[in-house]
Amino acid sequence: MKYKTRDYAKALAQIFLEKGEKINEKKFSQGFLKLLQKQGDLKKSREIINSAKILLAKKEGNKVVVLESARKLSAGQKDLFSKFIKKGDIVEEKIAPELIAGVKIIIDNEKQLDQTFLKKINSLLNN
Amino acid sequence: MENELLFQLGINWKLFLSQVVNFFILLLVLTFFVYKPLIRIIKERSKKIKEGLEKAEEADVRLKEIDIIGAGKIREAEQKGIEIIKATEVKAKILDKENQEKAEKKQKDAQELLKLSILKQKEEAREIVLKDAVELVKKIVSKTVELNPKDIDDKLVKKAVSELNEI
Repeated sequence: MKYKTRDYAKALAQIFLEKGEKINEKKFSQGFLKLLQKQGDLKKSREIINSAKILLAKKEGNKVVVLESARKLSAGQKDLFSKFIKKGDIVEEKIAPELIAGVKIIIDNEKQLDQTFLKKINSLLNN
Repeated sequence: MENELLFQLGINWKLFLSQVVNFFILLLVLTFFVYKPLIRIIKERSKKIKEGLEKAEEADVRLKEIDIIGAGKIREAEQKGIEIIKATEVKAKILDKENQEKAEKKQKDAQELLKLSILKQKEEAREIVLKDAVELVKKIVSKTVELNPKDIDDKLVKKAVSELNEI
C-alpha cells in the first residue's frame, strides 16, 4: 500500500514528539530509509523530512522559513527579518544565483513571497 | 395389179406391216419409258421452279419487310445511340465539374495547410527569437545587477520585509 508524503511526515513528527531524545539517530534514520526503499518512496525522502520539520515546528508553535537569494544575505539584510523570525523558528537559507537579486521567502511550505529580480523580469517580459 | 403397183413402187406389204408394228412398239416403249418419265420430270421441275419462284417472291417480300424493320431498328439504335451519347456527355460534364471542384477543394485545402504550416513556423520562429531575447535581456540585467547588487538586494529585501509585516 502506498502512503502519501503527508502520512509519512505525520508519522515521523509523531515519533520525534513522543520519543524525543531517546531516539538513536543513526539507527532510526537507517530504518526509516529502509522503509522508504521498501515502499518505493525513497525519492520522496527530502519532501517527507521537510514536511515533518514543518509539522514539528507548527506543533511547537514555530514556523519554518526558507530564504532564497541570489547570493548570501548580509547581516544587515538578515536583521531586517528579526521582527518576523522569532526564537525557535527554523530558518533555512538557500543560494540560487538564477534569482539575480532580491529574496524569495517560503513559510511552512505554504506561503510564498517572491521579491526577486527574476520574477520582476519574467512578469515584465511575459506581459 | 395393186400388188404389182406397190411392188413396182418398192413397197413390200409384209415389210411395211412389220415396220408399222415396229413403229408402234417403239412408240409404246418410248411413250412409257421415255416420254412419260420425261414429262413427269419436266412437270416436277416446273413445279419446283414455280415453288422456287414463289419462295423467292416470298423471300423478297420478307426481305423488304426485314429491310423496313432493319431500317426502323437502325433508326431506333441511332436514336438510342444519340441519347446515350448525349447522356454520356452530360455525365461527363457533371463528372468533369465534380473533378474540377474536387481538385479546387484539394488545392484550397493544400493552400490552407501550407498557410497554417507557414504560420506555425513563423510562430515557432517568433517564440524562439522571443525566448532568446528574453534570455539575453535576463543576462544583460543580471550582469548589470552584478555590478552593484547590494543596493538592489537591499531594496528588494526591504520590500519583502514590509510585505511580510502585512501578512
